[in-house]
Amino acid sequence: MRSSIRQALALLLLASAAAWATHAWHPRAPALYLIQEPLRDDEVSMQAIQERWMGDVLWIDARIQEHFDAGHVPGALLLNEQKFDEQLFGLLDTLQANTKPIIIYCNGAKCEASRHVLERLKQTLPVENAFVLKGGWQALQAAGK
Amino acid sequence: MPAFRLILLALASSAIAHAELTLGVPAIELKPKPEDEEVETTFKFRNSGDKTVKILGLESACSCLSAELDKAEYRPGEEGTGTAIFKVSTFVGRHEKFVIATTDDPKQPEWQIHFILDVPAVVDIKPKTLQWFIGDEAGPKSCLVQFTGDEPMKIVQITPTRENVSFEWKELKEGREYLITVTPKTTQDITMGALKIETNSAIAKYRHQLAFFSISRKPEPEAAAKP
Repeated sequence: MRSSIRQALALLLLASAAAWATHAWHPRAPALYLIQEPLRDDEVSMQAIQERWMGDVLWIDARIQEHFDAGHVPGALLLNEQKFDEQLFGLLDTLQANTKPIIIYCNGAKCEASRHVLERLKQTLPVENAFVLKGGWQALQAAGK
Repeated sequence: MPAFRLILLALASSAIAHAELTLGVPAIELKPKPEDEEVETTFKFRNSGDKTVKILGLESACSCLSAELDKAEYRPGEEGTGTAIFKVSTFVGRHEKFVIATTDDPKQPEWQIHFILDVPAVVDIKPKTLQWFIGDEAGPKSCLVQFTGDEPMKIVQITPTRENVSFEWKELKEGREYLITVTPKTTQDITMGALKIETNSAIAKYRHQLAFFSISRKPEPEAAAKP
């Protein structure tokens, strides 16, 4: 009986060690603490955009011109950190007439460009209901936009 | 049983080994000159850990900054060289930016390369936006334009984009300071406009500047409800 328990424990230990080693070595092992990060105060998710506004929003693309040219949300306006004033100048009529929520996106979860553009936009013009898209372009692509 | 212990020992030691990519400095500083359109720099770093590390990707938090590393793998103790390019465009002042390298080492899955971009201000407009609220008195408001570069500049022309405002400007310090005063005709309608300020700067990118003005609804407290 004791022998069986010892063997079972040894097998369990080996299996655990193998799992641990796999996690330690695997190049794309997920972090053990990985959880869904909560939305920041200035962020909205794709789900919220659909639920709250039925997707009827004004999209602003905060990526560089080359990425915008390669593909963007239909109807999105280009406004990035590089040419902020110049591009904003071209958007004044649209923003003056706009009544929709403004959603700004950049490349992905790690890029900060959309947040910087949002901050500068709010500093420059009295825009209301403007948010950063959580997950950026990657989230848009995942949603099939 | 000795074989079993050896396996455990090997597993434990391999789990302890890790890569550690480090810069020799806290941050890489980039200081372009006023006329620079972009600035490039190289930087050194080291794998200070005891395990070879493979770089899986590089992602910049700012599209203004791109970086490349000279190799994809770095052995323990090996030094690497990176190249960073910063597109200056209209950036002004001191900015902190990051490039994130993803690695195959679970102990250091991401290595954050810290950059400080310090762009000298040549034109400073304060405030950048003149703002009125609907129903406010249609009184004048002013912004100060300062030319803080090595060479003085002059404003040669100002053009507003809306007919709802009148403006005037005067030179306070020759080639250095100007005061632009804008007066709306009414504050009844929502307006977002700009003043196109043309200068005689020798550097092309400073020849056209913008100041903004707006007439908007007074914001209600907590008006922008969080979805």
